Amino acid sequence: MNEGISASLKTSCGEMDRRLNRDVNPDTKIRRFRVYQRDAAFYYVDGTVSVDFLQHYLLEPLEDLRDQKPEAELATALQNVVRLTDVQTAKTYEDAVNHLMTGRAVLLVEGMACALGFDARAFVRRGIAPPQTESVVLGPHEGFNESIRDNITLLRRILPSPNFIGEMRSIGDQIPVSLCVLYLKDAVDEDMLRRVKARLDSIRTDHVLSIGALEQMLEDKPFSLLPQCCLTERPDRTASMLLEGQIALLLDGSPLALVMPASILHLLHTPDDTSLRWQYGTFLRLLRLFGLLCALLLPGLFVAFVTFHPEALPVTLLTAVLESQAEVPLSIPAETFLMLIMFNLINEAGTRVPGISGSTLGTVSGLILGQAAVEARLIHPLLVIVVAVSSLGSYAVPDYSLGLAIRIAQLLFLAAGCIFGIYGMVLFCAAGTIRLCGMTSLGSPFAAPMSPIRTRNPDGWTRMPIWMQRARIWVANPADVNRTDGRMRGWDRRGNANDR
Amino acid sequence: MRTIVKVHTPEERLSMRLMGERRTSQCLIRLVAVVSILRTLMIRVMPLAGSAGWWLTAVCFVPGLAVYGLLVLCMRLTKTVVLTDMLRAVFGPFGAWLLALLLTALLLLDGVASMTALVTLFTEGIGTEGTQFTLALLTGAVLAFCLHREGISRGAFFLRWIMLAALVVMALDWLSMAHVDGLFPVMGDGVPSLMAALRVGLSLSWPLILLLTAEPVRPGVRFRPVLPVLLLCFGVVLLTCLSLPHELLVTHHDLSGSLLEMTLHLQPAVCTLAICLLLLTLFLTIGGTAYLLTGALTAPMSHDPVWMPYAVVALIVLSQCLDIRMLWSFLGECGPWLLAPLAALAVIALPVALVKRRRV
Amino acid sequence: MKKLIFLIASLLLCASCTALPAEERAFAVALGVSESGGTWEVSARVPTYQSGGGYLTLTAQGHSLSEALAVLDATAPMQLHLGQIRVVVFSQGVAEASSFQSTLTELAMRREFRLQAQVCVTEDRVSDLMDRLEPATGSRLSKSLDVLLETRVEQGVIPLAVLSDVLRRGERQSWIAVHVALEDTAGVTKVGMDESAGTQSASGTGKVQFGGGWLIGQDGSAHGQLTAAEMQLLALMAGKLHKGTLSLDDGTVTLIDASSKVKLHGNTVACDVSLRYGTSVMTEAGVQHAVTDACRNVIGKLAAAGCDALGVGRQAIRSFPDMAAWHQLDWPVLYPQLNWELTVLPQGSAS
Repeated sequence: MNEGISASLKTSCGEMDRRLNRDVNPDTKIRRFRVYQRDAAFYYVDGTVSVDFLQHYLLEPLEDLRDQKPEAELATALQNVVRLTDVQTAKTYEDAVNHLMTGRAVLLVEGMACALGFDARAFVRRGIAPPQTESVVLGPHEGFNESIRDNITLLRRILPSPNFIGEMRSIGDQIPVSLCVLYLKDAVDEDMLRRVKARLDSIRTDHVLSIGALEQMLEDKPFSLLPQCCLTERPDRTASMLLEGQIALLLDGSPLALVMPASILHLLHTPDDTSLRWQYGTFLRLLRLFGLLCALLLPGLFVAFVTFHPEALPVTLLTAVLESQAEVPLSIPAETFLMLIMFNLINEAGTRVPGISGSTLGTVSGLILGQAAVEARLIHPLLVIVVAVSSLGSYAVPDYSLGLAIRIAQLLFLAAGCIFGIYGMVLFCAAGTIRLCGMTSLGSPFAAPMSPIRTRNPDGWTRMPIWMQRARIWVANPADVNRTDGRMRGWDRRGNANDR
Repeated sequence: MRTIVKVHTPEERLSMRLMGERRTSQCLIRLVAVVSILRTLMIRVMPLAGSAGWWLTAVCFVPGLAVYGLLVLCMRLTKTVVLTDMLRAVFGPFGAWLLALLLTALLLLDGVASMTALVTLFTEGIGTEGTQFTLALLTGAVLAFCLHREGISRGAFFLRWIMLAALVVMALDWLSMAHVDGLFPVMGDGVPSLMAALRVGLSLSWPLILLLTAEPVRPGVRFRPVLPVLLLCFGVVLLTCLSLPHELLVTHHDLSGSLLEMTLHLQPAVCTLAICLLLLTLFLTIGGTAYLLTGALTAPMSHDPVWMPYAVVALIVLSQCLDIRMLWSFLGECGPWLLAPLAALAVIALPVALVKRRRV
Repeated sequence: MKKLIFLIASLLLCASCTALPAEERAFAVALGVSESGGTWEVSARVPTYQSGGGYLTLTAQGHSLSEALAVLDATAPMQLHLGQIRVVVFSQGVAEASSFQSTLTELAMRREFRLQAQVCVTEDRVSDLMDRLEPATGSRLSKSLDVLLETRVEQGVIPLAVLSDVLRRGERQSWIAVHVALEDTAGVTKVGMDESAGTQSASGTGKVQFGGGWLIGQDGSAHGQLTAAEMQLLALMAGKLHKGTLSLDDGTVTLIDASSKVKLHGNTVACDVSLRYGTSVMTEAGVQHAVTDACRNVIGKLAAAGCDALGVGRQAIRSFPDMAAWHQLDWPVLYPQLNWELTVLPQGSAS
């Protein structure tokens, strides 16, 4: 398979045509010309290269040398002539085809037992747009797009450091796709990095279509409900995690970065928390936590208390529930399940319907269905409020995967509450907590730094001031845990005189 | 505010991570100890001691503390920090195995007691449908589903503030019904009852010894703080005495009555919270017992079988095939003797350790 | 393996289900218990769960309290749930029986019984009284009863006789049950401030009123009553009344603040009451005299009934090493013989 490129142009072109299936695949073009008194041919894939670029910076300079003789070895001479920065040599047909498939133009010359790949890429791609799933109030409004090059560029703008390393590799045995492993050299834990690379090397698949698919190949516990990596559309968020010593993966064609290891706290933090003052950031985080708990537990608690523990409810509330329930044909557990499923259906429909219609559909469906169902005495009003509050809570969770996990867990908690009351929910909670605490992300405990305790900044459930966050988190390189030396607010001398 | 952060070497960082893991282990052991001690206090000691329970509890702690102290002294003499290592140093590999078997028996009994308490709570306290064995099987199945070596201890550590917060809510409700005269008469029903209570409560603090089986949080520190466990148990008993008079405490209850007595008079919502807390702590204790038993049994071994905790849980569940009253009776008979083997071990180990130290 | 365990757990969970839809239960708001000629009658006031409210009374009889409750359970249109009971009303006969305390204990031991229910005693027919229980404000009887009882307790005209509290007093303090009665046709209640309880006709057709108390002696049964005014004085001596209007023989006194201390020294009980009052037609000396006389009267009634409502026994028990010694003291016999030194220190407001 790794056959070397022949010096005979006829042979090498024939082999290339065969490998590229040119008899049936018209996308691959060939342009024959003469250079240095020899026959030559450019191969390129239509749509992936800039034809103008090819014309001005490759063909024209080379055609000017049609009747001249090379001053140095042929490959070197050709590289010296062209006005392009990125030239790579391919010794085998396989490498040459790979170059072509990644958007390079490949040059074959009579008498040259190699191919030259010139970077004239001009893929059609989406511009930089605001992230779709992670909106913030304060903070940048740039999101990743499908081009790995653009995404790396966005990160390099935020982290202009020579220690910011992006190791390119490809993944996929039959149809490889570009992958970049990004980390900050002094911040990352070498063991962690080795583990990531080992996992990447051991993946056996024909092609990886999206970063989500890659996540499923890399995560520690694929059957767990909770995601163990962080998927983000935001360059600023990725950069902040890189600064903490985490490792980011970018896949060509996916507008998301996969960051690992991650903990449950990473899935609950937003960039807004950092941009805002610590009081507001803390308030929002606690609000989000409250929302998460509401989303997870409220429907189950409601059903559990009304069905199993009515004595614990205020009697006025209980009577109000029972009076309206008397006219409803369904039992409370059935109603609650139905409402949650309907709500998830509305949500899914609103996501799939494009543009303005999507949000309108969601609003109208919710209002009409909810209102109509109450008036038709199919459900009772308090349940609409319970489901609405719990759904709002799930939307307050910033991570999309975690939000979905919570919506599934909500149904499980509801089932436990319906069957066994609050005792079932307590058992389920205990079991869930034990499983959560036993989970790992790239070997790092998922519930850290709460359990087990790990070195951390005061940036967990609450967000203490930025100037108190002096250390990198527990996954970082232990030799470089300090982010700064000395007082962050150097101008502020009112603090402890011994504070450095 | 001082915000100095020290730069750690990789070894220091690893050491800090191990400290974190040890803290979770110690937390689980403390939870098992608190639940075990409180269970014995509420079910066995308080019905006999009544209003004298609050000071009798402190007296019942003394034998356990004495054995604990002896063992710490032995560890100091042998320059070890873990009980298994101390016994290995004193008695050779036989000592390690002896401790393993002893702890296995004690923890198994404790696990069975916790499971029996949980099943009693379900069947007689809450009134759930299902037989004794079915409910034990349910608990065992849920436990087996989520059982994870590190998960149990980390889960207990994660939930510690939540459990404490629930306890504080209960304590506030107890305080609202507290009367100082609940501590009187000081001798309860008299000396014979107190002696009977003392007999059943003499061994209740044996779980404190479990703290010595795990690595200390800080390397090289032999003494593990036992005060949080003792204070918590004492606090609960004190609040119970303050809020319930002697006449109620010594009333003969059914099996679940003793467990639930302290929760019955709380506000309905707080009562539900209290039962949930009881449920949660018993559940975590059963899991913790399986985890600790596995640790104890595998300490002298070179490998760590993955199936062992599941086998322990299965054994505890199978114990519920026996009649529940017979189980309680058996556990009641065994209760006063639980500290005896550990005390004997401490008493024999001390002179041997002294002699070995002199030889060195 | 874990999937199998999960399946087993789910099946077991379902098998252990005890759920009954909440709308298929009747949450009784009030429970009435009476006994006559060996036949126990229980009545429960339950909401009908129609919009706009509405309540009905379920009644059943049996040879014992348990049997009557079982018959009530069996004949009720929905499963009865006693977890939201606000008041438990006993007939005078049941309250005066020696087995009253054990009746209360038997009720309290029923699963789900709300121990925060107030214990009341009436000399009217319990089932009639149950029928007359309607919400005074709004449409919810439970809320209405909660508000009414709370207000009455704050005014001091009824005691706080929560079942949980009653059980937790043990042998060291007696308690007082709430007196409940029907208004008569003239709208005058037997619990009026200026009437002695129990002298009116037992039949009434009006609303239900709470006021005054039934003294429960050391033996656990009712011996005598206190009027609403007397209950206020008792609350004053117990340190539970700080504001309100005291109705005395010589006039009324508007309390601004009050405190009290009851201390046992040997066979003498010193009760010091300090009060600050606003408007009164009486002089300070007059107030002192009137309050002292009225309080002495109340103390006398308590002693006669053997009702240690002020909790002197709680102090006495501290001197005894164990329960045997306490029983040797025979507190029920000693209590009525205690000497009381009552000191009232009134202070009028500066005007």
